[in-house]
Amino acid sequence: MNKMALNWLYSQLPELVDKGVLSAETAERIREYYGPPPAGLVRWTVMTVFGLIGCVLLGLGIILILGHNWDRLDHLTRLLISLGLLLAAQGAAALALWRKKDSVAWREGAASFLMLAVGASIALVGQTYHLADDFKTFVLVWMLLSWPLVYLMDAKSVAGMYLVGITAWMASVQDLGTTKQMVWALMAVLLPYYGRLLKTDRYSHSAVVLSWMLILCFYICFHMSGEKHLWKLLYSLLFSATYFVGLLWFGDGERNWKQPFQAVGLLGSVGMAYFLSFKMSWSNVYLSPVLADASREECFLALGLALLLAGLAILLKKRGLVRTGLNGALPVVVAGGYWLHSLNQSGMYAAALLSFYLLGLSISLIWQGARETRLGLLNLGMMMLAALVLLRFFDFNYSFIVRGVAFIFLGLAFLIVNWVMSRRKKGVEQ
Amino acid sequence: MKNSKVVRGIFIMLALLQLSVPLYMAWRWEDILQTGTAYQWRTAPVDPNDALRGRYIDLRFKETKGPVKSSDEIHQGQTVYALLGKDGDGFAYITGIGPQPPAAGDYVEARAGYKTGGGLWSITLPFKRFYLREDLAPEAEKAYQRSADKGGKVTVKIKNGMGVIEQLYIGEQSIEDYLRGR
Repeated sequence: MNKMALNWLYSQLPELVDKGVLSAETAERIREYYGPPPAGLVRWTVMTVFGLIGCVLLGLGIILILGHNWDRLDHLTRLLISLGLLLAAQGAAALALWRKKDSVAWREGAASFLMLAVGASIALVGQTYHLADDFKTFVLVWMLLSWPLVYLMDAKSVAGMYLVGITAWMASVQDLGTTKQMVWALMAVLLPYYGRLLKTDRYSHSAVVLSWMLILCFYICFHMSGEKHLWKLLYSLLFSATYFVGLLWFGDGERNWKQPFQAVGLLGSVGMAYFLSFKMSWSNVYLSPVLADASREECFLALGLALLLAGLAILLKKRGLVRTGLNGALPVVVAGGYWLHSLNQSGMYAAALLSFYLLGLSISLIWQGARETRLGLLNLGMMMLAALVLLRFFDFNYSFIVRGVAFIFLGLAFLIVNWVMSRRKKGVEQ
Repeated sequence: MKNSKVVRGIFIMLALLQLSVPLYMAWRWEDILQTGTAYQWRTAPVDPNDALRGRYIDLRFKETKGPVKSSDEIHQGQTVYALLGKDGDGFAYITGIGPQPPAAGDYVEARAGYKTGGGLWSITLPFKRFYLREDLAPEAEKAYQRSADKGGKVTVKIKNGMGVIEQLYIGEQSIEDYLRGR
């Protein structure tokens, strides 16, 4: 059945049930037969967003009022208030689940309100008994009691709040042991839901927003997951892998903001390349201690990421999505940087390699932009080149002579290319 | 959501689980308040600007050090158990600290701080906050400032290694009565 017809059928069902044409059971069986409504029907409308914001504000307001700490209320009254709040939120969620299943506004609003109520009720008991600050246990319990709502109520808002919550939990865990790494398991519980969301409509607003949150929380958690001696290599591998994932599965996003994987992967790679093109980012690295300090886990992680990246690159090649190999080549360049650094520990060689990589990347972007007449790409290449030129012009790690000669050679190279191209063009016109 | 009956069943179980957490917390702490042994703890004079954070007072105690047996290895941040005793005035003090809960007597689970002279270790007690009504907080700050040289006291109920604060006193008055009486 086509999407529009199904949309129409689903919109008619409640009315048909109300007027007694169909029984509720039959309507339910029709829904089960055709599966979940097409994405177009459950798009986030203004109503949904307003409903969601309303419920979140309501929940936050109640938390603030309870936070006043009404000292004339005895312990029992306070407990009853906190349980009453929780029961009311559960009632609203049950109503959404039983009676308003097709209303996104109801499901999202009630689920997020219930999530806030769970946190508020635990916090209120803590306040009543003067429990000391144990933020990490509080957040962990709160998140564990909330994540099933994502699946039960199909609530993307809860998924988003859960991601923020587990990231906050990880930030609050002080020790660097295995406890911190539990965040990956906590994150993984969302993956089946996220996968299903991508299958149904990966470019819907809600899916895109959730993708952004997932990527950002993932990087923040990765940053906090422990000391990384091979961070240059690990981050370059990760950014490139993120970029490749974007190219493979999010290539049809109409706007840049609908391509979160590409945006983060590319910005991260380019930002890192600029940072590593400074001598000082290498000069304090002593290679043998770095390799000696790098834990076995770190080496396995780097190896695993490299294999993943290679797999993604092969997939890209198979699907004919590779335009230029330079975008995802940062890990190879960084590995080359490490090798050059082992030859010359001043950092000069490695930094120069990164500068050349950025030069090559910006020229390839300009070239590609001009050839495919994509002004955005052309401008990006020009801006990257301008930034590189500016940074190196003021980079006092290189002598004036070296910089001067390099600039003159590059300038001449551009002029020669320009001259050759204009002659060719004339030849074609004649 | 193909099988809505299963979804509803799981939702009901989740709702019960959500309700059970605050209920269990309240039961556990209320039980300690009702049946625990009462101890009084002297609070140390503190810098009130630092002590009062928003809606609660950050409590510091005078008696936070105790002896560790030479056979016991303790390192900073470790969970330890402090055996409690009462002095002649009825105030609590720490008679010993160890890595395992003692077989007899009241004790409290705490975190090891640092080693001081004479084989003593300082510990961080688990009860260190006293929540107040938000409009009483500025008043409490002033009261705390005035009584800083005298020092206040806190009554705590202890049971099975856990402690819960009953009341904070300035002189002989509870902090709320003290503030209301002014």
